[in-house]
Amino acid sequence: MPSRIDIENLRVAYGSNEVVKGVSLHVAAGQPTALIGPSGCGKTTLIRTLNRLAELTPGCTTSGRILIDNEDIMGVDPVALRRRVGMVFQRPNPFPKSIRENVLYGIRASKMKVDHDEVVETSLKHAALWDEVKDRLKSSAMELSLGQQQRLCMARTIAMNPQVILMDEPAASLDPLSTSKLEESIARMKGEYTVVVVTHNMQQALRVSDYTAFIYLGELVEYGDTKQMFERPEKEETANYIAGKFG
Amino acid sequence: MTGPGRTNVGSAGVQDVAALAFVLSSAGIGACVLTLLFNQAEFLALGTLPLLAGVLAALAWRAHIAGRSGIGSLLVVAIACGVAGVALRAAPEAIWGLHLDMIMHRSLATSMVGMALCVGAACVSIYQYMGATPSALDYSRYPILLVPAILTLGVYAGLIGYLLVKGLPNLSWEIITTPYQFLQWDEMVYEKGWPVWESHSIRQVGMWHQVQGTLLLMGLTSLFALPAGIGVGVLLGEYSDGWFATVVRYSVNILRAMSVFILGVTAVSIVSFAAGTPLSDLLCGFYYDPLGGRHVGHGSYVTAALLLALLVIPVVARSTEEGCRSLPHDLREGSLALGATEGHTLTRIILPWSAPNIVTAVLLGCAEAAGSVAVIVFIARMGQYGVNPLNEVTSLSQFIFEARWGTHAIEDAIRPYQFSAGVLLLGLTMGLSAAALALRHHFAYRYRSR
Repeated sequence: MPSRIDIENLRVAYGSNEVVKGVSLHVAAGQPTALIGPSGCGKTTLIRTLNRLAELTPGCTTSGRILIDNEDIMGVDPVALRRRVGMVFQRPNPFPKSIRENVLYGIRASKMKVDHDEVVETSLKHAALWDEVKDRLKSSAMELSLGQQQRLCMARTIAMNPQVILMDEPAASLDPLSTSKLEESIARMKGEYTVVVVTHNMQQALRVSDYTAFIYLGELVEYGDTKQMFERPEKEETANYIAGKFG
Repeated sequence: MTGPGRTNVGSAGVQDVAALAFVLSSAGIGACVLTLLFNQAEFLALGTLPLLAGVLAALAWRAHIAGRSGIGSLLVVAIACGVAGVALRAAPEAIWGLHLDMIMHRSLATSMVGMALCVGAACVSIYQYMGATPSALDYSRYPILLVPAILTLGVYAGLIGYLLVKGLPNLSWEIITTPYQFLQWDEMVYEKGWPVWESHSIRQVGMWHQVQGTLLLMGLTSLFALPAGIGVGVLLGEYSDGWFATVVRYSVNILRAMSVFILGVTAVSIVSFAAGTPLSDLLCGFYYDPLGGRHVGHGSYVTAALLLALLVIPVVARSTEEGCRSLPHDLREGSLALGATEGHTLTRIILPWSAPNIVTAVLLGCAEAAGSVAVIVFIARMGQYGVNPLNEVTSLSQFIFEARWGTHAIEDAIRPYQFSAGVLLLGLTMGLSAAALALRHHFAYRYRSR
């Protein structure tokens, strides 16, 4: 069941350096959303706050509220939260275990009572990886190509059946073929999970998301329907960024 | 005329002289090593130095004609060789230390100074031989790296060779599998009608119990050291902030730097403290003599292993800490992002990743426990009453020790086999090191292949 996300006046600072400056954002349940903007503008910090990974960095302070399904995430056990909010990282980081064990890692960690074989197959199919690995599930995940590893990371996140899936530039280190496979999988997730994708690539935002938020220098500049933002952006900064005049 | 990297016609002569200088300097190094071993060989080293000075001067002249660089260093080494050759020959053969009743034979100075100068000569001659180009500078540094390494390896080879030559002939399966036994009893006989006590003894020489004891000691030490070492290592690697971790780290470093002899004295204290208390069976050990009488032992394997574990814990802790720190950051984040607790991440990701380090450290610790004699020297005996954790401690290193510093009777009996025990111990240590390498390789492939 996907969740809605409400971010209210979020401020995140590393020491004295404020990286996210009062962002308020509302993401409807099941709505694929893209966060675009130039490098270093707080997009990654923003989504890492959503699964409370940001606070693990020493010196990080946050203020404001984040509600997932109207529940303040700061009041929830972070480990329990991360089982509902999954994350796929920029560089694929499969564990040095077999493919099957990678997919089952989160399930074993949370001691979920599910049929392991079924979950492995379903998750790998969702991530468009099943056909390529179905006869070598016991082989090491490190032998896969980079694109396959990233899809494996997606599969193990999906296996947890989360409500929200966060993706931090998931296709950044991938070749075009793997990128398109990944984007297909993301597009299939619409309605089943609330997906928030950080991307540099505006065409990718067009391909995978319904709504886009443009973040610049830690502030939310514009948020709206993806197609509309690209064809008729309201703010000048958005128009400049999309036209490639900076960033 | 000549630029960097280009040589001209005159360089042919330079190469020959440079080769001659190199050969001469190598011979000089050999002569200096020989001088270290035999005073009488000093004349070889003393003769080489002026020869080397002359050849290097000739080389400098030829190189100057050919327009090469590096003349300065050639001249410096040549002059140094000449000066050293003259000064050493003029020096008195035995040098008295000031106000100390100390004699230093001149050959020691000759060999040291000669070695340094010959290495320098080898360097500059290689430089000229290779054409005095910038790359030749790198090649010319090799003697400085290789000569100390080869000399050290040579010493090791000599030691091991000596050990093998003296120890192998006496080493047999029989001697390894026979336990050392000594029985002494008095018998009453009648001499001319009067009763007289006559003492008899039987001694059986072997090292079977020592071999078992060494293995048992290694096992027990690992048993005690592994949990503590991994615990400390994980603490230092994962939770390294805070005053507690600082205190622990400092203590571990001090433990490593402590003299093992203190542990030996501590062993005696522990045993004498425990005698007569309920801990006596555990710490002092006990044994039954052939007649069935129960005796308190002089120190059990448990005591020895506890103290040896103190030596092994810092090694394991340091390795574990390094393993934890070397874990790639994104693996840890990936685990946390999937909702795994820290404990789950520790046991499923961090510890498997550190497994190669931990295994290597434990095996090296075992090798150390096997060879360690200082810790057990006061409490160990010949282990003739059996090998079990609550029996008297013994090991191969104790066997070697007893061959020199045991009672006269023991010494005479086992002295022929002291080198054999050494060979056995060496084999055991080498086997453990090889096992450590193989296991490390296996674990790294299994848990880390990235």
